[in-house]
Amino acid sequence: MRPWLMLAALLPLAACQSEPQLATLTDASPETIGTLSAVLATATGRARVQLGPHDLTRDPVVSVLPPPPGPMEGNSIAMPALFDIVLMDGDCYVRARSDGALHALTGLTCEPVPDPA
Amino acid sequence: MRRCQLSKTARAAAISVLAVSAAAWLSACGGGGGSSATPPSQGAIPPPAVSPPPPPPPPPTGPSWTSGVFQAASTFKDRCETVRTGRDIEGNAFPDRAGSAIEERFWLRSWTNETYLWNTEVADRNPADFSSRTDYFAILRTLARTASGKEKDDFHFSEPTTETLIRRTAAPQATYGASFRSISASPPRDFRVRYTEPGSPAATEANGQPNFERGSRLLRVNGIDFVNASSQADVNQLNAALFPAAAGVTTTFTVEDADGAQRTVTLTSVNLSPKPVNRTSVVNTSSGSVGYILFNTFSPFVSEREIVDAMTQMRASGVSDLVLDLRYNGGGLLAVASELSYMVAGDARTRNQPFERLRFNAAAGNRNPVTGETNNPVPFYTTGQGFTVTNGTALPTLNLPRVFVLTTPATCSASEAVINGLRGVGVEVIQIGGTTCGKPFGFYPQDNCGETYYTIQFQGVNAAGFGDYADGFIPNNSTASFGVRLPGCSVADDLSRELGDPSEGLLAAALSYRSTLACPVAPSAAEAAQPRTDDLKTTTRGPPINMPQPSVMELNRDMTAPPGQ
Repeated sequence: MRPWLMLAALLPLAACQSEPQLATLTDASPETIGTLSAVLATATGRARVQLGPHDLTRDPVVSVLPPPPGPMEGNSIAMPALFDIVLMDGDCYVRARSDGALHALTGLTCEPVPDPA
Repeated sequence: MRRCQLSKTARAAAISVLAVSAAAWLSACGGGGGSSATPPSQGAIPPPAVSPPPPPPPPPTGPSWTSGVFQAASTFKDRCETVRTGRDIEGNAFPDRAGSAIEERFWLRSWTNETYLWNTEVADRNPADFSSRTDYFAILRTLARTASGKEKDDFHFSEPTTETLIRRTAAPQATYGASFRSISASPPRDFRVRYTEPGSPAATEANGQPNFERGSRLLRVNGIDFVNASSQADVNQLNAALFPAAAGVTTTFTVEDADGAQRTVTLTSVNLSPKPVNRTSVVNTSSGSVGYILFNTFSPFVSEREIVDAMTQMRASGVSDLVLDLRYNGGGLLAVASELSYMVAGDARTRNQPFERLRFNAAAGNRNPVTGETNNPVPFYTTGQGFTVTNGTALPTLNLPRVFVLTTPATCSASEAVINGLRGVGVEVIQIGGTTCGKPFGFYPQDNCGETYYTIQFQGVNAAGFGDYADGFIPNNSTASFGVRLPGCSVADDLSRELGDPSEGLLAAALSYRSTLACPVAPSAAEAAQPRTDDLKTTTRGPPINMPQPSVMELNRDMTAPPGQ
């Protein structure tokens, strides 16, 4: 992720200290998925990304598929990149499982996943 | 041809750099041109004539080579003789910076030293002694051989990055939905149908019979004698008809079925992505149900969904044994191979065990030298990984102590990883068929300046620490001299019966072995019946049919086309 983007993502966090809470999107319209995909593309440094199979109104985890293996790759260790959707102080983010980086889902709404307990 | 062009370009660049450097040196020293900044005054005695001193060497124009001393590959990464500008076909900006051909070759040298699995077996040659990056890359590999005498690294390869990207972003390809086996690509040609894709034009039934059946031999294509045509014009038409460039191409085939009957069928090509799980069935026997899965590739992401669905079906059917038909499976995603292995073996056998450890070169220690991350093993995945099964979804298990695997030389890479991974946790793998390809190795394709390089970087090793199967796995009664022997039977691929038919040679042998622990066919006869397709394809009796490079979906194997293709 570019430093200024990371900074932009973290700026809103400086003013609040609440813990991120796992969340799901309130809708999975093509427009919402398009916005989410654009954020994830920036987060993964790719121009375009393909998302794994999810109902993101029920599932708080989104996977970004790797580039498909080429025809020469018989032993490919490619894996999806996983992100959690989280809610913090009323704003939605995706949080990378790999390094914990937060990326704002500006304009999207989400709701916390009910505590199973 | 491309190498020659690059070579000329590189030479031209080097010459122009030298010329400019030499001119600059002359200019700075003020010599060589007969003029002087301070002309001698009138009447002065000219100095005695002396021999001019030898010219100093030109200033350095790039990195210099010292044997055994390597700068970090990152020093030279993306420093290109020809800088690409803009974005690639996936929309990503090119990372290139202005550099030189020699820097590209120095990157190859350092990158090989850092990441190549057998880096200590590579002779350190001066990049300046080579005229092109591909010529230099070609020697950056081990020349050692396996026990059988084959090259230890016959997977070394590079290709233009544009070709890599086009292939991996390709939409479904135009096809009739048939996979052919080329027994002879030159006259007298012998192409047989290996299998058809479900729902494809080739599999569509007419008068109660599929258009193409397994084993159908091509006799005529659009009226051209496929077996004997010898003119280049005819062969060009055959290639265009057999491997259509687009959907909507209508072609008439005359075929001879396995039973000797001849038919003429007309097919129109469609854009189609082959199904990883081609078919499944359950064979009921007196000693329990036996599941059968024809799994043709681990490569596309949908392979995760399809193999999980197939195993769910097997579990629901209560199978007590499983036959995994991997005879045409050239590999793909190791994660899906891990999931499949977990679903076979179950939780108890795989708990806290790695499916596969990646062994890098010794200098890497516990670090993955490509990613820089800690080298963690590939676990037995117990849940979907998010390719096409939602991440975290529990996988079904069969909890089997043994599995039958059907193999040919086209069984490769991730397919072999399944065999090895299961053996590593004590699952008995019974092999029916032919020697597997022998590729426990893998790599991370790497672009630099428009060329994508494939150099072996890791070896897969199972939970028991074993990964030395470069000569393949072979059934125990095989007459082959090399390879890792497994319980089972050497049996030739049987094109006379449909795949999944209990009487088809390999499946029949598996079912028989399951009952009697005996092999039904003498191995020598079986192996003699196995056509040596590679040998036949190199004959020069006429123009050969050009089998296209297998698509990502059809056959996914590293670098070299599998035998039998």
